[in-house]
This record gives sequence, structure tokens and C-alpha cells, in this order.
Amino acid sequence: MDVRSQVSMVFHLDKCIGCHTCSIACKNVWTDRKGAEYMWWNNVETKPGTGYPTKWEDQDIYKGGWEKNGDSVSLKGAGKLKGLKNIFHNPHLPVLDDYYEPWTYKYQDLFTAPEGDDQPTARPVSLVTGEHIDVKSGPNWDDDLGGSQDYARQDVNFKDLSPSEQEVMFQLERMTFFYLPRICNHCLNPACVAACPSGAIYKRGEDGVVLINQQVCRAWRMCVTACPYKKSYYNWHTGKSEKCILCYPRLESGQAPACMHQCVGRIRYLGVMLYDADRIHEVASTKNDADLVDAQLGIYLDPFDPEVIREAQKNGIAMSTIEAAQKSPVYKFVKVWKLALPLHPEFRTLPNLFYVPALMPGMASVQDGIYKETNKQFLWGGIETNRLPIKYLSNLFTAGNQNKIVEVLKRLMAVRWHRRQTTVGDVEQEIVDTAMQEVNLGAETADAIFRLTALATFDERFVIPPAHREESIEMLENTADVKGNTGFGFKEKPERGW
Amino acid sequence: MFFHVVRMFFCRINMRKVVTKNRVAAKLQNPSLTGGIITHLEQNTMEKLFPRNQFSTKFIYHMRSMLQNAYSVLLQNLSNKKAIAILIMAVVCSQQDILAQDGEKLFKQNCAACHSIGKGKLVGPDLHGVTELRTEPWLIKWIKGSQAMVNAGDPDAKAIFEEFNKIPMPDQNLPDADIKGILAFIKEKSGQIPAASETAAVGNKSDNATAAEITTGQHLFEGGKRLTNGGPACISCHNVTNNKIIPGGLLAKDLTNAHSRLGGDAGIMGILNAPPFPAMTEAYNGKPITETEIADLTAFLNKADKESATQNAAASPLLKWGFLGFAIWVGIVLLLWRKKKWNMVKQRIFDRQVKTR
Repeated sequence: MDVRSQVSMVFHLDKCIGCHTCSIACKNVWTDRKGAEYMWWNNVETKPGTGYPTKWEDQDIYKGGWEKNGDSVSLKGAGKLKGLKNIFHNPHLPVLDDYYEPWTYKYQDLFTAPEGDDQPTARPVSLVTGEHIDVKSGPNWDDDLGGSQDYARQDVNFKDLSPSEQEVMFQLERMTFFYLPRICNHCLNPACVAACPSGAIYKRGEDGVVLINQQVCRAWRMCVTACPYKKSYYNWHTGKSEKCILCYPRLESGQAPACMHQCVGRIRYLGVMLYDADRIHEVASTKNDADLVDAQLGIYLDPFDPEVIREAQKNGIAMSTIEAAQKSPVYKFVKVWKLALPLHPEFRTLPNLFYVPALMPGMASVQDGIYKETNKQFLWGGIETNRLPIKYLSNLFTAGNQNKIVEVLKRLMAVRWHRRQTTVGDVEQEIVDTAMQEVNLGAETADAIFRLTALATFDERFVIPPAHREESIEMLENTADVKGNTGFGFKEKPERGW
Repeated sequence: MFFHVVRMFFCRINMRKVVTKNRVAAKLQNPSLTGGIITHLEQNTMEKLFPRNQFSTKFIYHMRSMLQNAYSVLLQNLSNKKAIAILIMAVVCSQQDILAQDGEKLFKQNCAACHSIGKGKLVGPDLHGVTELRTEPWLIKWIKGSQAMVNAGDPDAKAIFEEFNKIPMPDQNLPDADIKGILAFIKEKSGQIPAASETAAVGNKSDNATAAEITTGQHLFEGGKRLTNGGPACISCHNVTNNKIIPGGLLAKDLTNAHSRLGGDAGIMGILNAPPFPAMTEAYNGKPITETEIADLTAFLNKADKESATQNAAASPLLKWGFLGFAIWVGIVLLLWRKKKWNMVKQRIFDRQVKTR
């Protein structure tokens, strides 16, 4: 057993209102720079939709992630021979238009335009070329129902759904959507790290944050191709690739990442997970896609298990980190309550960002001109009559394992029945009991789930372990040698500028 | 004047080397051995620096005394630069002393490529008795700028230009003293031998060249085989239209018919022996083409000239294989990367939206 600690996340999709505050927080802190205008380390997508960059989930186009290769896995778009062939060419990269061409407006024209018959307008100009452009797409162009013809209907996750099943989703009054905020998953088996020819990308030992060393990066852009989530971006100005750094400077000083701190719906949770690094290869090589979720959840260890604690300490994990793992909201959502699922586990990167799927409201049905719904057994409809087909959700979160999705949705539903009974009391006890028993949920657990979902305080949502920087620096250098040197030296800028 | 500057420059460099070297040697051996240093200098470098045939004996002695003065100054811890300046001044001032006895060497270097004295026409006219035919100022003017005279409408100049197939004589950038030396040599030589008949035909030895010689010549021309002394291959500046070789450079004259144009072997060999054209002189400066190489190149140019009517520049193998190779290369690229991402993914969306607009 090789116990390591990983800072992991849970996003509760039922609480996401799609306000993009997280994206703006991230943009303002990290990517408001020349060359990075088009990057959204954090973005919010509307599902069904094509996402950003367009159709990022379709690995037939982008060749990201891992694919099964005998008993093992190999990179879909890189590798020794493929790497040699494509190293100067890299033929599967998204182009700028697959993201979008960033733009601003010439606001000054509103003030300086000469007097005339028409209102002055602020024309859009490209942030790349500075020329006037006709804006054709943006990072969240598939927002809500706008252009569903072009975006929602092109969703890659419809691939197993029959045309009639798809058609049902787009009928008037049945149409639905939910939001999917995405950041880097800081995977346990990161494809970007494996694909980098320069060895510039690494996974931090102390907390598992995946980072790109800007001084080592040589602009091969293999990480851009390799990351199946398309969360590594090439900065055309500095000539280096960049990605979400999970606000590690904030983490190290005990603050939540900017996107999580700003989140209006408080949908984001962050905490430590302990995992067994010896099993990464075995789990990533799981035979059937459908077993991937269970296999991945199996790699995370119980932080209360004395043997795990012993092994963790042997590996140099501080007791404070282990205690944080015991209090981790992520551990509760993922392992204890089994409510959160990884996004696209079939990419086999073992992502560390988990999603609690959204429970869609039940369908209102009209009979004889009267709405017939919203109480008793019709309250939220049956799980099977979910507005979003189970098949669709399973393509997103469980690599096609529909049972797994149904299980999670039933647990969420049971909590709702229980809370409805507690607060309103208009549900028959029998219905509640059946629902709770079916998923083996006790009232106390249901209340705890409710509490962490709806009432959690800042410190309950973000359990950030002390960074122990004094120890991590000792791994690299003798602190006595550099005593008194802090604050000296130069911060080198890349040759082509920041 | 240019040559003066160049010579001055090289003298200076050489002198500095000598000075430094000997200073070190002196220090290593015995600082008082001034005489020894001068002897060493005399034996090893005087000949190299000032070849006897370019400088009078008187001048050499003059130089020696200057050198000795400079050295004593140097050894008395005066400035190195000052001593060198004296040496250079000695060299520059003495340039005026070049006399007619250098004429023969200068003639061979600068004129023999195209002219003979009493052996008949080559590329240019036989110069036997030319000093009687024309005045010295006219000759100097012609040698320095023949085309200028032709264009200015000098009747004699025009007649010569017309007579020799309008091949312009390259301008010789020589000091008047050198030209006078050459003219003196021509005059002297003309007195010694009789004039040849105008029609004296010069036999072309290269007509009988073996296939091996021609091939070697071709390789030398193309650069497939290096010139022994490291001169550049002909093809870098010249073109010869021949199916066996790739098209050559366009920087200098096309040599396809050079053999007949330059009056056979003698013309070509003369030019190769001592290139009279400024750029070519510079290119082969210190890298002379050897006798055998000249013979081989002449044989090749002779052959190429004779074949020229049947050769076709468009049939050049470079062009043919170039196109074919490019097509094959593009094919391989298209095959290897046939599964690449060809379009932007949004294209369909853009197309549809533009259509409905």
C-alpha cells in the first residue's frame, strides 16, 4: 500500500444556477492576460450542449485520454511511435475557433464618435488581432436553450440514444437542461503528464495538484491533445501551456480556490482524500468501462482505518492532513454516502472532481385543462421517468453504467422524501420508509446529507489541510543553507514575455 | 589604390605576427640577442613578405634598415604601434618603386588568359607590336576601362570590340606603374620574336580527351568532386545546358558555348589559369585550379559545347525528379496523417447559422 493524499472536489449540480461567477473569479485572478484571453480554466457548460471547446467529449476528434490496450492502457493521441510521428505536427489540436475568438468592444467610440443621425456603437474587436470581427461564438454560446438546434442537439453524450429517445428530450415542455461547471480534475492518472515530451507537467507530491512548469514547457502542446477534458491551454503569447492550478497559492495559505470561494450557489466542496497509488495502473486498466466507477471509488482509502493511518504516516503524510481527510466533505459525498460520481470515467484518467447529479423536477402533466402534479406520488415522478434519460446521464458520469446512476438518484430522492416528511409532513410515512429502505439509508444519514448539502458552513465545505511548507521545502533543499535568503533573487519572465 | 590598401593591411597583420612572435622568442631566449632576432626575421619572413620579383634589391635593403630601426625602437620599450606604423609607411612609400622587370609576371597574371604575344589570336587580339600600333595613354585608358571607350565612341575601340565578337575586355584595376611595366614587357618581347600569321590555328588538345577526363571535368564542374585547392565549383556561378548535369548558377556567364566563344582550349585554359574577372579572381584567390583540373574542365566544356545543340534545359533531371519527389512526399504525408483533424469542429454550426441569417 502506497498511501498518498489528494485534494479532491465535489460539485453539487442540483445547486448550480449557472451564473458563471466561478468563471469570472478565475478569469480575474489567473487568465486576464495577453495570450490567455481565450482560456477559461473554470467554465460552466449547459447540458445537453456541445461544451467548450466544442465537442470536447468526442475523443474520435480530439484523441484525448487513455484507451484500453490489452491488459494495460495507452494514450489515445500520444505514445512513442505516435509521438515521434506527430511531435512537430500534432494533428488533433483544437483550433482557436473550436474554443472561440476572444473579443472586446471599442467602448471609446461611444464617446468619440462625431455627431450623426445614428447612435454610435461599440464594435467588437478581436483580442488576438485587434481587428474588427463578427462574433460567431463564445465560451458559453450553448447557454440554456439558445441555439439548441446547434448546441444541445449536437451533444456528444447522445451517442447511444436512439433518434426517438432524443426527440422526446426536445419536445416543448419536456425540454430541460442543467449546468456542468468544469475545472481541471487533477487526475490520479493524468494523460497530460504522460504525454508531455519535455516532462514539464507534474503532480505535486503533497496534495496531488497537477502543474505545468513554465520554465520547462517547450510548447509541444501534447498536453492539449492528451487531456480528454481539454483543460490544458496553449498561451500563444508566452509560447507555454497553462492550466488550472487549483489556486495552490491560496490552498497553501488555507484559503479555498477562487472559483469555490466565490460560488454563489455554494455547490463546491473541497477536501483531502487518501488513495493507494499502487493500484492506479490496475484501476485505470479495468476491463469493462461499466466497472470503472466502482474501481475508481475503490482506490480511495478509509482515513479512519488504523492501518491506512500507519501507512500514510510512513509515507510522510502529516497527521494534520490525515485528520483533514477524516473531516473531508468529499470523502463523505463520494465514499460514505456514494452520491458523487466522476465525469467521464471512460477516459481512464481517474479524475478527482466528483459531481452529484441533478435531480430533475418531475413532469407536470395536463389533464382536461388542469395541471395534475406536484403532490403525493407524482411529486418528483419516478426516477425512470426522469426528464433526462438515465442513459444520457450514465454516458456523462458512469461510462454507461445505468444502475449506478439510478442508485445515486434514488438516494437523492430518498433524502428529499425524508426531508419533505420532516418539514412539510404531507407524504405518507410508508412511501418515505420504502424509499429509504430501498437505498439502505437511515434518518440520521439523510439529515447529515441534507445538512452538508443545504446548510454547510464555509469550514464544512472546505477542509483544507495545513500545507506544511516547512516540510515540503526540506525535501528539496537544506533549509539551513538558504536561511536568511528569503525574498532575494529574480523572478524570470519567459523570453517572449508574460 | 584598392590594392595598396589591401597590401598595407596584410603587411600590417603579418608584421604584427612577426613582432609578437619574436618578442616572445626574445624573452624566452635572451633579451640582449637583438641581432639574432633580426636574422631570424630575415630568413623566415622577408622572402614571404617581400618577394624579390616585386621589389627591387635596393628596396629590400632599404626595408631591412627600416626594420632594424623599428626593432631597436621596439626593444627600447617604445610603443609597439609606433614601430609598426614606421614599417607600414616604409612599405607604402616604396610601392612607387615597382619597375618594368615585374612586367612579365604581371602579364601572365592579368593578360595571358586572353592574349598572346606573337602566337596568334586567342579570345582577344595578339599583342605583338601593340605598343607601336597605339599610344601609351590610349592603351592605359583602354586597359582600365575598355567599355567606357567603346560607349564614348572611340573609333579604334569600337572596331576592336566588333572584331572580337563583342566580348568585352574586363577592366583591369591596376596602378599605372604596373600597366607601364606590362607594356614595357610587351615591347621587349615583340622585339625578340616575329609576329605570327593572323590565321595561325591553335589546335584543341581537348578534342582528343578521354571519356574519363570528360567525366572528371563534369564532376569538377558540378562540385561532385572537389577542386584540389578548395576553390568553389563552377556550377555555383555558371550554367552549362547539358542533360547530364543540373542547371547551374545565373551569377556569371552561361558557359554552354564557352569553348567556341573563347576560341578553344587556349581561351578557357588561360582564364582558368589566372581568372581575369574581379569576382572570379577573388573567388580563386589563393586557391588556384591545378593543371590537370584545368585540362579536365576544358575537356568537359568542349564536349558540352559540341553537344549543346541536342541538349534541353527543360529536360533537366533536377526538375523532373524534383516534381516527382515532391509528389511522393506529399502522398506520404497525406497517407500518414489521413486521420488528422482536418476542420474546425464548429464549421457545421457556422455554416448553418450563416445560411439562416
